[in-house]
Parts: sequence; structure tokens; C-alpha cells
Amino acid sequence: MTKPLAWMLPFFRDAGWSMIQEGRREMKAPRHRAISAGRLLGFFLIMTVVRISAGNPLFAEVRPDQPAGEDPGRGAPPPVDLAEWKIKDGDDPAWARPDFDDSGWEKITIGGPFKRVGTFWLRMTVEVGGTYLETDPPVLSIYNLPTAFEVYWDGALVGRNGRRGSDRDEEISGRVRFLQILRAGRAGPGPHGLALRVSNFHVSGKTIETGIGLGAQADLRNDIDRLADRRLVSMGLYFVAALLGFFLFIQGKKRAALLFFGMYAMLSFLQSVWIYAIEKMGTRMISFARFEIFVIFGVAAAFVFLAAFLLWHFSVRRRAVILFFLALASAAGGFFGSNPGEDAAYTIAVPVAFGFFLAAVLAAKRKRGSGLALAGTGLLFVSRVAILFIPGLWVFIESLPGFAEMILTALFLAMFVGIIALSIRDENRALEAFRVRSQRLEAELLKKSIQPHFLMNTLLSVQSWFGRDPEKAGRLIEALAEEFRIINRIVDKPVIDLAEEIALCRSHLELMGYRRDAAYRFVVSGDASDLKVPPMLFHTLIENGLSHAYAAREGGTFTLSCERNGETVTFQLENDGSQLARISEMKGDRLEEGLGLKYVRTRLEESFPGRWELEYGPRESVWRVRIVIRGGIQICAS
Amino acid sequence: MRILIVEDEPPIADYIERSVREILGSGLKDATAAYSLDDAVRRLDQKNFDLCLLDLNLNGQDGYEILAQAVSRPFPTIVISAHIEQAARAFEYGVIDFVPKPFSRERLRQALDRFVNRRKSPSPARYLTFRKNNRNIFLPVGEIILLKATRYLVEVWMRDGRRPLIEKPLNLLEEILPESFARIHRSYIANLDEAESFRHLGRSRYSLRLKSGEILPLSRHRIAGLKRLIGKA
Repeated sequence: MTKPLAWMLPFFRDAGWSMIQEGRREMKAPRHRAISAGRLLGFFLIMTVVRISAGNPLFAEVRPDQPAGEDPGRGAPPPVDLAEWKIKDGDDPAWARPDFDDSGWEKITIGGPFKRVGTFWLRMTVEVGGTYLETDPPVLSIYNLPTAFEVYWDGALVGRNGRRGSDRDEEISGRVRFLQILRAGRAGPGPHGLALRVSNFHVSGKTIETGIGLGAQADLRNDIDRLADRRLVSMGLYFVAALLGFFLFIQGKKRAALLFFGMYAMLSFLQSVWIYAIEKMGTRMISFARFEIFVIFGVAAAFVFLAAFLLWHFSVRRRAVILFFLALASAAGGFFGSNPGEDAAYTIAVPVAFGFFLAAVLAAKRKRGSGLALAGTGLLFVSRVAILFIPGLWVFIESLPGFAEMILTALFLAMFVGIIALSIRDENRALEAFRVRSQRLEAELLKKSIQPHFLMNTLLSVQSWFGRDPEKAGRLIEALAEEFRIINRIVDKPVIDLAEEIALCRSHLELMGYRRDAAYRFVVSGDASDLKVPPMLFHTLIENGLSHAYAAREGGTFTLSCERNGETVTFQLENDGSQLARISEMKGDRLEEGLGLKYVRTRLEESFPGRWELEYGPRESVWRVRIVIRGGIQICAS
Repeated sequence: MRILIVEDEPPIADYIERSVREILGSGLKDATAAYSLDDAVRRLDQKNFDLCLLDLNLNGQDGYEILAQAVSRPFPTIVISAHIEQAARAFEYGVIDFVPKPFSRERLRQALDRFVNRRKSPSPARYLTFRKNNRNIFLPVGEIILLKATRYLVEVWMRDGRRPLIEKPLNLLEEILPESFARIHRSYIANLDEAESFRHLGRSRYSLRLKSGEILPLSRHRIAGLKRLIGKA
């Protein structure tokens, strides 16, 4: 008869709980990702039982020569699972006697979900296979047998968990994990009578699982300690991961993915706390029973949150719908199954398998960070789902050294944190690139406006006018000064008042008029006083117009119109000029976009990302540049 | 002297014209201003010029296109520009001087003086430029073996065997080409890096043999300078 040592691997470790399915008697591997020396020991003990009980074909190929973890020199009998019991309702002190004839009692197997309400006795005969040392006495471990009981060893009362009672008020709940040390002298080789006098008036629902066993203290106690210690490490890891997720969520752009990751880690943290509390803080069965349903669904929910993290992080389409059905499918097992403990395994399997599938799809699409997601969910899938169906895998994982659990948990979390870190790095890079671009734009603007050749040519013009018309030279200097004053005001601003831009254009046109010995007019139509535009937007376009449209000493007119239609603003800048005909003749490749237009495009994109249009071309006798900005122009002013 | 001023800003063109007139005085026969490249080409068709004063940036037109157009002409070019970063390149293409804007009268005088007194340009050309089918062709100076004057044009003997014809007179080429190019004869400028031997043929006849096997006549009155140059090589 195969049975894992239920009392040793009691409840889920890190969410997994291994167990036997009542009635089917076949091993259901747990989906623990926990690996420990204790587990290893447990496994070989199970193997021992498997061997003794003529084996189960499932494990036929696994026959370790020597049980691991057992010190051959020590000589303590190996731990045994106490599963086959006789049970009878009622209460009679005589039932404690080892020689009492219980042949008429009902048979029961303990080692899975167990429930019996009322007052009853459990009896069995323990065959002790060797001699225990006084320094390493036998320990009786009883896990989650509700609600209070007394332990009789060879007819004598040796221990008590809680206070037995005949009704709900009288009964006081015992602790989930009950360990009773026996004196080595009382448990010599040979048969011993073990009887449990139980009362249960508090726990009426099904419990996750119950397990009873006997083993040397060194084997049991230490193993339980290690189990708890590892929970402590997991608690730390999960807690930090949860804080990371929540803090990033709060201080950042409120990304749902980060919240989901935080929820996953927080639920995993709580689950570790739960196990630690049971093993180390003496949680009472009554509390255990009250909360276990939350624990079961909490564990499943953790993995649903993890799947949600992937869905949101990678912006999968219809993620809300997918998540809804995933949560539904996960919950279905828990709600409709006959047994919360067992069905929880499948409740977890659904989101974990889904996460793995999703990561595989994302990796196939070569999404950034999907490699890490695939590795993380793969690890999870192997340790939580595949293990349910491949016993050999369980054997392998159980054979890994004890610290592997911690490393795997850390590794697994590191992969998910890595996905987050990767996206934060990408974000920072994008931000940095944006800053650099802004600075470059500013520098470009400065360079554009104070290009040496612009200044030198202007100075030479001044020199020329001094000889011919000193008054004009003076006005040219004034226009130059005015242009520079405006540029100085606007140079570091992402957007400026349109009025300021218009003033800049006017002074530039005046200056260029003196330089070209021609008169340029600037006509503005439409109400645009409250609008903001990137600095030197129209100035740049006017510069272009001046460069190409006019012959020497030929004057001209620039017309700027602004039209508002709801949230859409249309600017139109037109200019005349005798040279336009020449430009119109040029074909595409000759009419290359210069630096000026590139500047205009970059500035528009910076201020109104994705919601602007720029078009230009000859229109009858004028050159027209049209800029359309949708979705409100003032919004970007800040 | 007839000067073509290519400058898109009329006040500056005026200023240059006034300055040139002042510097050259009666030596200036005619100064013509062109405000665009097309305008300049049109003027060139109308009359001959001795010198071009050129602004490299004409209303956004490509400075190098303008430069290439100018230096392929038979007369020398002085660039007057605010784009001092283009100076090195301008010299490579064979201009005789580069005057940065704004300029003093003194600086312009210096540049004109360089032209008037036929002094070597401060930085030798690295390319000779000529126009063919409306395109600018650049001949790397290092690849030139020999320049031979024909009736109207100059034949450029390239190392690869090409013999393109350019419009520039040998007098001007002498000024802009590097030291290694020497006027060995009224009709030849040879790249002395390519010279193999130097022979006295008796009486007053001399010849220069190039590595490529060409034998070229040497002018008697140029022997003195050449001996020194060849001896150095």
C-alpha cells in the first residue's frame, strides 16, 4: 500500500501539498517547488513503504539501495507512516488498552482529507522496527487531527492536544502540528498499542489533510524546523518582491501589471506565513479550519495574478476577457470539486499552465522579456504541474539538495523581477533619449539662430549700409537685437505664445528686408492669441521661404492664418515670390527636405506626438505650408 | 580688370563692389554683380571675366555646386564667405584665396593682390574641376602627370591614360597646383614626382623624360629652377 508520509509533508509546502487520493490509493505527486533534504528523506521512506508493500508499478523502477538521510551508524528505526487505523464513535477509557479487541471496529486510512464529527477513538498497533536511543527518542507526530485529542501509548496517557470535550463549549482546539516525544524505553522493538481519544465539535467541513507518523526526533523535528526555516526565507523573498511590485505601481504610472505582480508576491508571502505559523507558532486547528478555504483560493489566486501580470505586462489583446475566464476556470475546480485540498492542485494547475503557454506564445513572437517569462513560468510549470503527471520528475526534484528550494524560489522571482527591471530600463532609456532629444533641439535652435554665417552676413550688411544709408544700418542693428532678445527668451521653452513667435517672425523679416534690400510684409489672420507653438516653428518656415522664393531686391508677403475647429487647429503659412515657379518645376528628388523642415517636424512631434500633420507645396501663385494639430493645442503648453 | 561678384545679398554685393573699386582704382575696368547662380552663368555667357569673387551660399543653393561651377571656369576664383568651415575644401578645389566675412578692406586688398601679382595660392588645389555634359568632374591632382596647353584648352594627362580637356589657362594652374608641378615649357606643366631623367641634348636643347616614357621639351630659361627641383626629387 503506497502512501506518502502525510504527517511529515503535512500541508502544502509553498503551496503544494502532496497527497494520496482517498480510495484510489495512488500517488498524486504534489506540486511543490519545495525541495528539501527532509522531503528527500520522506521520499525514500515512501519508497521503503512501497517496497514493503510489494510496490506500486508507478514506482517500480525506483529502488534506492539505501534510504538517504538515514545515518546507518545511528541505528534509529526509520520513520513510519501510521495510516491504517480502526475507528469507533463513542467514548470508553477501556479502549485505550492495547489488548482491547477492536476487531469489530470500522477500518479507516488516515493520510488525506479527513473529517469525523463528535467523539470517537482511533486505535492501531505500531510495529517498532528497532531500538530508539534516549538521546534520539521516538516522536509521535499528529498533523491536523481535529479538534482535540489525548494520546495513549500502550494504554498509558502520554500526551494531550487541546482539551477534549463532550460539546462545543467544553472542547478547546488543539494545535495543527502536534509532536509528542515518547521515552525511548517505552518504544522498544515489537508491537505497541496506540490509541487516540478524539473529540471534534468545531471542525465540521472537510480538512485539507491529516497525517500521523512515528520517527526518531532527529528525523522529524529537524525536518519540521528546516521546513519552517525555508518558509522564513521564502517569506522574505516574497515580501520584498511584493513591496517592489506595490511601490513601483504607486510611484510609477500605475501600471496594472505591477499591481498584479505585487498581489502574486503578497499572496505567496501570506501563504509562507501561514505554513510558518502552523509549524512554529502553534496555530490551532480551529483557526486553520476557518481559514483554509481562503488559503486554497489564495494560492490559486496568486497564480491567476501571476498570469494577469504577464497578460498586462505584455499588453496581450483582450486580456481582461482572458483573465476572467482563467479565474473562472481556476475557481471552478475549487468550487465544484469534492475536496478542496485535492482540487486545489488543479486550481493551481490551470493558471500555471496558462502562464507557461502564454509565455511560450510571447517568446515565439520575440517580445522583449518573454525569454525570462518563459524560463520563469517553465520552472513553475515543471514544479507545479508537470510533476502532477510525471512521477519520475517528482523523484528527480525530490532528489535535489535542500537549499535548492531557496535558490529556485529566488531564481524564479529574479526572472519575474527581471522582466520588470527590463521594462523599467527600457522606459528610462526612452526617457533619457527624450531628454537628450529635447536638449539637442534646444541646442539646434540656438545654433540655428546664431549661426556664424547669419551673424557675419548681417554684420557685413550693416557695414554696407553704413556707407550708403547710416539710418538703415541703425534699424538693421535694432532688428537684429530684437530678434536675439526674443530668441533668448524662448530658447529653453518647449512651447511659446504664438504672439511671441509672430513678433520673432516680424523682426526677422525686417532684418532680412534690410539685408536683401527689399520689403517683406507679414500678415496674420484669425484669432490665435491664446495658442502655443514650439519656438521658431514659423520662423524656420519663413527662413525657408526667404531662401527660395525671391529674387534679389524682390519684396514679398508672408501670410499666416490660424483656424480653429473644435479641438483641431490649422495653421497655414503662405508666401509669394518670383522664384517659386522654378521650385515647382523641380521633381521629387531635387526637392529634398532641408534641415529646417526636419527641425519643424521634430518640434511638432515633441509637442504634439502623433497628432500633427505637415504638408506643403505650390498653390496657384503661392507656396503653402499647412500644419494641422488635432486634440487641442493648449494641453501641451505645460 | 573685369570682375564678377556672385553674392545673393545686394547690399553686400554693393559693398564688395565699392571696396574692389577703391582698391583697384583705375585698374578695374568692370565689376558685375550676380545675385544667383543662374544669374552668374548668364553673365558669363555675355562677357569674359578675369576674376570671380564668390559667395558660397546663395539662397540655400549647394555651396559645392557653385564652387565646382566657378573653379571649372578659365578665370581664378576668390571665395568671400561667412562659412569659414568651407575654406579648406574651397582651396582643395583650386580657389586662389578665401576671404571670411565680414572682411576688412585690407584683407580684400591682400586677396586681390595675390591675383594681380600671380602669387601661389596659400593652399594648393587637390582637384582640378571641369564640366562635362553639365556635370562636374573632379581630377585628383596626385593622379596628374602632365598638363599640356593646346590652342584653347589644357589637356590633362592622367596616370590612368585619360586626357581630359580643361578650360583653365596654364598661368592660373601654376598658381593653384602644388610645388611638385613645374612649368617646364611654355606649353607644359609637369608633375616632377613623375619625372625620370633630365637630359642635355646639346646646344641649348634640353629634355625631360617621364616615368611613363614621354620625352618633353624643356625651356632653356626655366632650366635653372628646374635643376634645383629635380635635384631635390
